[in-house]
Parts: sequence; structure tokens; C-alpha cells
Amino acid sequence: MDKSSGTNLKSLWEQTVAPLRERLDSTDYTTWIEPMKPLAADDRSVEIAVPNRMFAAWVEENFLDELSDSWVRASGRNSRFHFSWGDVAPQGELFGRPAPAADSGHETAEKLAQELKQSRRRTTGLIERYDFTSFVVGPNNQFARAAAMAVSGQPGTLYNPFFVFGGVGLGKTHLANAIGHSVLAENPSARVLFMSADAFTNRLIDAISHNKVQEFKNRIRRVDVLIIDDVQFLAGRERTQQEFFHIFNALYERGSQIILTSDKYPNEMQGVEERLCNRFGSGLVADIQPPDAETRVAILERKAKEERIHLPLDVATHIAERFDSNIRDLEGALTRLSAWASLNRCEITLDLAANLLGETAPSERRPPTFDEIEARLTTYFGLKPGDLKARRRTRKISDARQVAMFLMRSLAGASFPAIGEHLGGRDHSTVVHGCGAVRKRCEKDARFRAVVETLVRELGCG
Amino acid sequence: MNVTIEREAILRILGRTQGVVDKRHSMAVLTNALVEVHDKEISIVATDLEVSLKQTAPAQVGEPGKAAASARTLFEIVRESSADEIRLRTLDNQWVEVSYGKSNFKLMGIDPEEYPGMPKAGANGAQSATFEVAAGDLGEMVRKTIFAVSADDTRSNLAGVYITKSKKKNQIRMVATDGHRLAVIDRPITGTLPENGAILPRKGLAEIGKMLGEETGKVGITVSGNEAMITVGDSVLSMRLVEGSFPDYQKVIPKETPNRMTVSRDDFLHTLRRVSILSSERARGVRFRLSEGTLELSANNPDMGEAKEELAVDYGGAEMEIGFNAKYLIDVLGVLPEGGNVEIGFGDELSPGVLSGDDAGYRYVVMPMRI
Repeated sequence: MDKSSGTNLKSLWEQTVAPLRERLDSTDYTTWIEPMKPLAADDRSVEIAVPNRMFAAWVEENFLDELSDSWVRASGRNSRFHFSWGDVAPQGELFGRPAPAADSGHETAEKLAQELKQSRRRTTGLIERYDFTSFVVGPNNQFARAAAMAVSGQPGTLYNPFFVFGGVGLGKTHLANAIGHSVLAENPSARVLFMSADAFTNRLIDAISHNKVQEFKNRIRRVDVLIIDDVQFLAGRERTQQEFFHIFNALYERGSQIILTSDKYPNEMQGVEERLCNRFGSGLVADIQPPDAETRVAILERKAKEERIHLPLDVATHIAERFDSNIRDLEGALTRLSAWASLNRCEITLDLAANLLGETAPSERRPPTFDEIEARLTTYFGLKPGDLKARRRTRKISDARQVAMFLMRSLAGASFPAIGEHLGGRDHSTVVHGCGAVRKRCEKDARFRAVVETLVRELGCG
Repeated sequence: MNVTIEREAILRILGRTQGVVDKRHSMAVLTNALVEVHDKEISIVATDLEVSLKQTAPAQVGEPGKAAASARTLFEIVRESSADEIRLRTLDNQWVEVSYGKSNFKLMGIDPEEYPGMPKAGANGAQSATFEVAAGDLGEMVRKTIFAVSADDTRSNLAGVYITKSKKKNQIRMVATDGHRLAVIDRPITGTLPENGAILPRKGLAEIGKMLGEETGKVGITVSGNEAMITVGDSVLSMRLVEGSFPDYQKVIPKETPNRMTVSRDDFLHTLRRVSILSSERARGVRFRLSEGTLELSANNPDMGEAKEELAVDYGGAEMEIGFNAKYLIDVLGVLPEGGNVEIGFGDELSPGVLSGDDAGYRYVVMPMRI
């Protein structure tokens, strides 16, 4: 250890941190640089006292590069950094170092970095198998995937927030995870955090009950990529929304990428504060539609390959025809089929598939009734029952009313006067205008179109 | 039970119980003191199951018997009295009446049979060793070691003073350490010491110190099974030994300390106290810069400032710099006699220093700190 005087070491250290004082913002400097005290140094290493392990890890991650550069410049020595914390470090021990107390210890910077990397891998919450290579592309999700890849290439700068919406089991979660994996592959030290809105709420409640809200928020505010899955579950949770709003803003300002998935278009989420919805929709909104038949077959084939199932093309086509709206159901059908086949030691054939999964392609569905359309729209747009029939003409209600006219016309095939009659005795020309307005808006406004398509799909599926 | 006792005597006895009764209140019964009255004497027992103290005094006994009540309350009642004599009486349902002059107190007591009482030394047919030591020597040994006992609960084997045979015949050795400093003292005894040594708990040792008071003459100590017992005058103190093995303390006492410094104990102590005002609060680090004839002490607290003082010493060793926790040195200088000299032997800046005074049987080893 240092044979020269400690005053010397101290002035070396002052020279080392001086440039950081100028470069870092003052909070960072007083919080992270000032508390560090040099303990000893020799030709190869420099030992620094820090308050605790967490502190060491943070410094290692955020300031070590600058510190070591600056140290080399000040001392002319290319030393390894060691961190010590707790109070056993400077005081010599008669009987050797005792088992370190929980709050004291000693670690080299390299070891900390390594552990940090490992623990980060554990704590991202990402689902391992959901990456870009396992994502089957089709016209239904081409745009969303391209956008997701762009986001993962330039997290935080290109499209922020990135909002993916689409029906159940269409791959929103898969796509969001894939971005996380891709960012990590590019930059292993990036902090990526994936959690469902439910998990977010639960952790927040936990933090509130343990009086640790600040720690919880601080932890989340430090991430580089935050992925919140099924953000529609924030609906009706006011405190959670409030905290999330602040976290969202903090991350946004910090330039962290925010990725959200939902089964609804941002502004259509009921029970979610408007200011949140506005922010959700302020970046790029991409939708995922149900896959077409070819894509469904491709998905089945990929899944079969992954699971090492021999799947003849005609069977794949049959399953793809039978399950047309939801990839989870599609894959579930394949799993059921292969399980049955392997239990009974037989091949997967078209007959088997037809027997097990049902004979026919999806039956001709009856068109939805006026009441079904009205009920769906009322919940989707968050209206009060009867709003569609009433005289009121707020923007939201009249939008919904026009969509109702369009859907009643296109899905139920009803006549203009019948629709007008149902919607509170309106004139048939009003209905004609409404349907035209929706059609026109769909051409101009991709978000609006996505909403309408979602509704068509949902109602069409009965 | 009905007994009358001099205020002076019972006040002293009850005062002594305050250090023994359980302060943590882990068992409510242990906040009580047990009063036993036999013919012509009263004895009061206090225990926290680790350390037990029984004190006896003469009394005017009206009716023998037993009672148990809050040691703290009994003490406060007696302390506030101005009468010469105190009367204790049992009433129905474990109530205890304390009266003096025109004052009368009734305390809710507990069933005296529930009180644990004194452990029986030599029970279980365990091996026992008994020795006698001069009261003055014992008091000094306690005083010169107890401050070095570890306060760290996680190092339980260091939470007491180790007693063992000294290398010299018919001498006891007491050793205390907290892992950073170590105090060793040897004193003559008669009798036998426990074969494998024993660790006496800090609390018991502190009570020994208080019991000895002005006592002169010899004091007997018996170590038996996992208990040690000591009798001083009318008091019997029993303590449970600390479990675990004491570390190999001999290994850490340096055999050679080439750089020796001799300094006036008083000057050294006062300089340390002054300079350490500006050492950091937790580590209390003070830097020693040694050169021929001079010791320069300095301290530096980044939040407050720095201090420096030069001291004339007798030193002819190598020039060196070494850091110490000032408290570790102030502690030991505080128990050394005023007006004497102390000698500290140093190896290098990472090796322990060995401090000794005019007392040839006492040595103190202290690890430096890196500053």
C-alpha cells in the first residue's frame, strides 16, 4: 500500500475528481463522488471507501470509466479500483478479517461489474424465448415488428413511447420482450425492466405498505428501457396511475425508452386518466391484427419445429383455418394434438386433427345484433348505457355513434333507416353521413382505423 | 414475613441489584428481586439468569418468610426515604408492604416460589476449580481489561474476559479483546485455575468491579461447570460462563517490536484527546509520525478540519508513519496511573503496536488503521 504520505493520496484524489465536478450535474457529484474517500494506493491498485455495497455498484456502473480515466491522468498509474465499505476496512484486525458484517465488505470493481451483469439478467423480468427470431412476421404485424426493431436499434430516441396494441394472443408481449432482448444484446449493461401492469400495481402496493415508495420509484426511474405489459389493467387504479404518470415523465425526460402494450388504443382505455392516455399515444402506436391464413400456418410450422413435432402441411392448414383469431388458441390446438398423438403413439394426421379439434372450418357466424354492437361500443368508449341513443353530442359520443352506424351497416348489413331508428330516431341521411365519415377517417387516420378494425374483429368473432 | 432493616444497608443492597435485574424485560419475573428473611438476617437476590447476585445483611426479624417485588420500585421507595429504618412485611396475595416514618407503600408482588433464585455452583458433579486472589489485584485486573471486551454481539466468544494460567507459576492471566486491541494482565493467586480456562461475561465482571469497592484482603473465586462464583463479604455473585473458545491470543502479541517509543502517560493522553477532536467520529483515526525524539500526532476530518501537535518522546527507531484509533489508546491510558511513563513498541505501519507501562504484568496490543 501507499508508502507516500496520505496527504499526497488525498491531493491525487482531489485532482481525480475535480474534472468530474465540472462535468457531472451537482446532485450526482454530491451524491456519488463526494462521499468516496481514498484509503490507499500503490502502483497497481487504488482503494476507495464508500458507504455501502449498493453505492459501490452504482459508482462502478455510472462513473467508473470517467474516474479511472481521470485517475490515470492525475496519478500516471493505470490502477485497478477496489471499493471498501462498512467500518472494518481501515481498522486492522488482530485475528484476521472477521466474517464481514452485512453492511461491510470489500470488492474489486471488476467483480462488482460482473455480479451486476448477472443480477441484471435475472431482474429484467424478460421472457427468455420471446425474441425477434422467434417472432413470425406476416402482413398483420409487419408494421409493428418493423417499428419494434427500429425502437430497439435506437432506444429512447426514435419512437418514445412505443405503444403496441392488439387483441388477446396476437403477440404484443412477444414483441415487447423482443425489444428488451435486442437492446440487451446490443448493450449488455443497459437496464431493462419488463413487468405487467398488474405486477407494477402489486409492487407499488407492497412499497406503499412498507413505506418504500421512494425506493420503488427510484429503482424504476433508473431503467433505460421500461416495458409495461397490458397497460389497460391500470384502469381504475388511481394511485397507481398517478405514480406511473410521474415515473413515465421522469423516464421520458431522462431519455429512457418506454414500451407499452394494451388490448385497446390509448385513448380508448376506460378508467385511465386522460393525461396518461395522451402520453401513451404521444409516440408511435402500432397495432397487431390477427394473422392471415398463411401467417397462421407459418406460426404453426415454427412452433412444430421448436417442439420437434412432425406436422404435415394439410394438418397445419386445417388448424390454421379452424383457429383464426388468436395465436394462443392456435398454438394450444397444436399442443393438444401433439400431446394426444404422443400419448396414443400415433401420427398426427388430418383425420386425427379433424376428430380432436372439430371437423369444420369456423362456422358461418351470424352477424352481430344492434344490441351487441351497442353494448360493445358503450363499454369500449366508456359511455353510459343509452348514450348512443340520446341527443347528446359530445365529441366522444358522436364519434362512437358514427362508429356504431358504420358497424351496424357493415357487420349487421342493416338499412340506413333501421339504424337511424335504433339510434334514437335519427334521420337516415344522418346515418349515411356517419358511415361515410367513418370510412373517410379510416383512410386518413391510422389510429382510428386500427380502433375500428379491432371492433370489427371482436364483433365479427361474436 | 416481617422484618426491619437499616435504611443505609438495604439502600446499598437494592442499589446493587439495579445493575443485575433484566433491563430488557424479556421475562417479567426477572424485573423483581427476591427477599428472603431468616433468623437475624435478610438476603436479597437479583438475577437475569446470566448473572445472579445475593446480598445478605443483619436485620430485626419479626417473622421469617419470602417475598418478591419489583427491584426498581423497592429501590426508589427506599432511596426517597429519610427514615433510619425500613420495614418490609408481606400481606395477602403476594402484596408487599414497605413502611417508614409516616409513609406506607403497598406493592403488587409475585409468588416468591416463581423466582429463579441462585444457581448452585458445583451442581451436576462438574469439575470445579477454586482460587483466591487479592481484592486489590482483582479490581485492577477487571479495570485494566474490561474496556477491551468486544461490544459486537456477533462475536460472542469475545464478549467476556478470558481467565487462564499465566506462564509464571501461581499466576492468573486475564485477557480481553474485541479483535482490534487486546489487554493482557497477570497477577498472583493461590489455589487452582480451571484447566482449559474460562470466559467470564462482561456484565458479571462489571459487577465484580462494583462489589469489590473498598474491599481488602483475599477474594475466592470458584469455577464450576458453566458457572463462576465469587464471594465478597456478605455478597455472592454467580455468573454463567461465555460459551465458545477464546481465540489464540498469544499468536497476535508481537514477539519483537524494533521501534520503541517512551512517552509521559499524561502528555500522551492529553495530546491524543486534543488531536482526536478533529478525527472522524466513527473511526477516530489519528496519524502518528515518528522521528528521532519527536512524535507528531495529526488528525483530519474532511467535514471539520485538521489538528496537529508535536510531542517530545524518547524515540530512536526508524522514521515511520502509522495510524491508530485514538479511542483505543485513550482507553488504555485512562487505566494507567498518572505520572508514569508508557512504552509503545512498533513493527511497521501494518503491524500491531504493543503498549506497556510501569506495570510489568500488563500489556496492551493494538492494531493500527490505514489512514
